[in-house]
Amino acid sequence: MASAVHPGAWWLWALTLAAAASQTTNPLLLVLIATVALIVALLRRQDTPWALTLRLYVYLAVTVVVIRVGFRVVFGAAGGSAGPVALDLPAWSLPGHYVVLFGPVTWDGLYLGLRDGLRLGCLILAVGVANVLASPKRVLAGLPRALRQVGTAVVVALTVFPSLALALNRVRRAARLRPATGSKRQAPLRVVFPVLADSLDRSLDLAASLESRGYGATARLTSPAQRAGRAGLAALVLALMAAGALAVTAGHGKLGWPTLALSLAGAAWLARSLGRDSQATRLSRPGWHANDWLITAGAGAVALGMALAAPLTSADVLQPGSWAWPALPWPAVLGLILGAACPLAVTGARQ
Amino acid sequence: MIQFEGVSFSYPGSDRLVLADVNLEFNSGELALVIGPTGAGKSTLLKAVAGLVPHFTGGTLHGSIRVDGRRTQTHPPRRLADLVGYVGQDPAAGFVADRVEDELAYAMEQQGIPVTTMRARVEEVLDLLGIAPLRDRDPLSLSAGEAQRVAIGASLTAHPKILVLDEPTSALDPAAAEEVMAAISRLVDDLDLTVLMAEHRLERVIQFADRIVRVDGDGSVSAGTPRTQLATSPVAPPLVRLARALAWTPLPLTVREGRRAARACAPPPTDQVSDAVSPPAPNRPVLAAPSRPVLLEAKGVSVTHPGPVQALNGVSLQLRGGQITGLMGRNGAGKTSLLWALAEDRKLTPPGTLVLVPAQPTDLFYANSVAHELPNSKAAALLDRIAPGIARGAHPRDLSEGQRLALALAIQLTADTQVVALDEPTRGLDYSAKDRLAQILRELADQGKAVLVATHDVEFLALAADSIIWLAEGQIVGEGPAAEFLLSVPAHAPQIAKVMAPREYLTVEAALVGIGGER
Repeated sequence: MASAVHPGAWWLWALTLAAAASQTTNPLLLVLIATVALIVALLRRQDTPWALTLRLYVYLAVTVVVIRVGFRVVFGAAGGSAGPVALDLPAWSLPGHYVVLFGPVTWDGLYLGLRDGLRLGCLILAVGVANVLASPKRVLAGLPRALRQVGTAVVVALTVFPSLALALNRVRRAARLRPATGSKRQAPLRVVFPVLADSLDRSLDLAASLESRGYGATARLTSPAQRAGRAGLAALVLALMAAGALAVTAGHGKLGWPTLALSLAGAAWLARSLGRDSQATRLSRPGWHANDWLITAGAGAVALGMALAAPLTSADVLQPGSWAWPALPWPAVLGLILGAACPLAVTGARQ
Repeated sequence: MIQFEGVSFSYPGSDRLVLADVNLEFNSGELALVIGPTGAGKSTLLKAVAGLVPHFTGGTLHGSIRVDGRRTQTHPPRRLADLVGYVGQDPAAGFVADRVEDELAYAMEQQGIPVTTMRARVEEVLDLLGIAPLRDRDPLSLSAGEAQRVAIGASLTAHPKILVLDEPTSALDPAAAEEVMAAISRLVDDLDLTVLMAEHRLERVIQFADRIVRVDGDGSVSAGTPRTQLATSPVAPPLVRLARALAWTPLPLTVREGRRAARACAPPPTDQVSDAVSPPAPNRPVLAAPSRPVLLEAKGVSVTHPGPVQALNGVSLQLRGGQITGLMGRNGAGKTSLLWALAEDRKLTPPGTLVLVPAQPTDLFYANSVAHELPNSKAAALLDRIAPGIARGAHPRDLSEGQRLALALAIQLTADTQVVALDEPTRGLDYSAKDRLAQILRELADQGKAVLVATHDVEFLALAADSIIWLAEGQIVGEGPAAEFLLSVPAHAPQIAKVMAPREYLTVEAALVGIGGER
């Protein structure tokens, strides 16, 4: 059964969670964001093979947290954070005295590692949840024409991880079928090699299939001069965009906003003109319906909650400093609850 | 439509000419069947037409191939896409979209066909191939047979002038294969489509072929009418082998022709004498089944795939030593699920009691050469028995589909287990390889092992199986002796049984012995 939800809506929602996670190091808030992402993913995922890869993203996120904390232990002394010592390991300086391993590990150091890890883990989880809720291939359906050729490449890249995960599952099952021969030490290699070989074979097969079905065949041939002109225009638009963004962030709004608007208009025009080159059509373009607006509203609530968290409570609530129980900012919590409730209210996403 | 002029081709790093000085011409509206032993170069020939050889595979190509006037050396596959629809051996590997509908439309989208036309053609193909209920499914979640039909459909929607199919029916059950072949032959009639098709199971496709292209494995390729080609071809379906042994002329190709020839040769016995003349059991002595030890007893096996799809619903079965059991059923009936459930249930089959040859043999391989892949000399000998002439230094993934299967069979069948399970073990194997495999399975059974074979290949079951289990929608709906089962339903009857009816012969050998007895 096809999803009643526009894939773009799911990606917007999940990426908003990722953006929210990137804005804070408050561990309670990060755990809350991860929980919201997981609950919605579990309750609203589709019955596609991709949806089964959620577990792998969770493993990856947890691994990242563990590695970040582990780093704090290994390079504890390098962090230079003060405060009570949690674990007093002997310092071990490598020749040249530039790199010092281990040494006293402070609670503050560990806490910092944990927060960093949680933030990164949350980002990974959010992207994973986006993948699980709507395959990136479906997002492609909504892309403007000019971006579709590039988009296909991006999608192939994005699906590497899920397809590796699927290959891993298959090869591990098959490896268990083989009568045991050889040493135990080789066992991991016997999974790793076929998985990589299989992924390579599969991507070549996919490329051959795309090719033999005419991918990129209808782009109207343009002259080198035309192409050079377009590339120049694109560079100009990009430069304008960068200048505008810089100006806005540096506080020169009066100059920045019009520049940014101009560059965006330029980009839109360029996209349209490039789109005319490709004659490719699209069978079905999913529409943006009530459900999608509901999910968008959820994403909006999260964004608003995060934006209002610091102004309405204390200034350092999103970036708590030292080793102390962090406060939970109520606007962000409210935003996240709404952010979870809206997609869960969507009907028909799962039979 | 397609011209080969002095075409020679060898893969990179190999000096063996897969195609050597090939001259061929295909006319439009022709259905050409490419036949040849396992690993002879049939797929290479097909890929050359689609431009994938040499643009994707590399290698050296001499001579010229023209497809509707376009030289494939100068036109990459994407510039041939509006002309040639290509479906490879593993259709699932080529899926691009994540909905069947979008998959069907993909080639049309690339050509910029208007949406209303695309809609109409997608609906047409959905009906033509009977895949309308699948339209919203993810192509990766389809069963092998469904995937095959979707892939054929996807290559048809853009209305190419040439359709290139590599073993299109090998994953299909007999009924589905018939449907697909009927659809293809209708397209040849309606749209003047040129079809180039490689197939090992000739009995399924021979009646549709206008021409047969023989790839002999030494680089030589010849084309001719089915009758002249099959008169001497080492690769021949059961009926042709029977007819050649009995020197029937003209050579019958279809069951209908065969029946006529059989009647002329040995008129069907009349009722009074039939009991006396025709041997009681078709193939082999009836086994005293209960006396054999039960080696595997499964009770109430249920499997649910994420979906949730109930793949198996309380299946109970007994496998006895010394017996070869065929597992049959439509595409998606749960055969593969059952085999894996048996193999992965550690309580039922502790390690070392059951070995499974999976349907995708490539997953088993981890070494970088055939030699390293083979565990012992016994396996090496078995490999040479099933598919002789596989170079030991070759990379397992560079082998042809049938050769890979042979390698997997060699590795798995040397394991010393009580129960041997095989999932679709005849894909890509030629007739003589199948005969040898049937013999090997018989030897395993004679050693007291229980053998379970899941397959759609009724000709193979006619050779090998003692009994049949029929699976439908995750449940066992029928069980019985193979002969009884294969003879009772025309759709699943092997060619010889259809031709020789009412005599109850399943195989060429049985028929020859039987007819010899009558004379």
